[in-house]
Amino acid sequence: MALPLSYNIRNVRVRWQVTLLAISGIALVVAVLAVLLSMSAGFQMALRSTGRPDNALIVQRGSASELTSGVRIDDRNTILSDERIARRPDGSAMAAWDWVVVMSLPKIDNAGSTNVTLRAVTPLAFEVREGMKVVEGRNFTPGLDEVIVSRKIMGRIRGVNLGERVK
Amino acid sequence: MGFVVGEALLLGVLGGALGVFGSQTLLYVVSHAPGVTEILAGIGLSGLELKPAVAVLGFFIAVALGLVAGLVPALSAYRAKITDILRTV
Repeated sequence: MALPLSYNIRNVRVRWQVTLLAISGIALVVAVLAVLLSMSAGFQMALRSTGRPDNALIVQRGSASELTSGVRIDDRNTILSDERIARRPDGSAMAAWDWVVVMSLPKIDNAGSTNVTLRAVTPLAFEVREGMKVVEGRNFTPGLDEVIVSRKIMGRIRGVNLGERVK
Repeated sequence: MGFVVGEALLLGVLGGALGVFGSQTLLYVVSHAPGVTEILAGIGLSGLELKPAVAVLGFFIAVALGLVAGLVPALSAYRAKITDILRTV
């Protein structure tokens, strides 16, 4: 004879300490799993939307990001002469080197400041990366203190609109 | 046996629901905390949210955990003689 469901519920309620412990344990496992999977999905989305299979990023040995990497000019020239790097029609390497720093700029809602990545590039960077389009104003002039600001940064940071001076 | 498995299933369902709710709350708090949003955006996590597929997966894992955890005591309860159990009460 099958026992009614109310027996289960009553048993769970009577032994509430054990029940609470079991539920907490399972909830903790599920919460950690869900958070990790959400983070994993977030990273996958970020990488999928920015990465390209034919575009490699070379950083210093031991560096996990551009910010902690520094490549010497000698090494840079060695990399550029590597046969695995795609060539332009004139035979030069389809590679660009960037100088990346993080600067603190004020938020648009005056709620303090936030870190913004500043990337100094050569004109070749546009050819290597592709997909970039200046939608307002013009491209920067090499040698002058001019920057291109993304739409997202314009919506988050104060004082980076067209014609303004970045402090 | 059904009694023990049913109870384990109930614990799994409750734990799963609490876990999904807890992770949703945690992700909301983390992604809306001052300063944390920028740090997350800096490492490429601009939209940290609990996707329905992840929530469903987490919930079913909780139910499966409850079932697996309840299976052993359920089997021993099934195999045990009622007289032996009553003797220990």
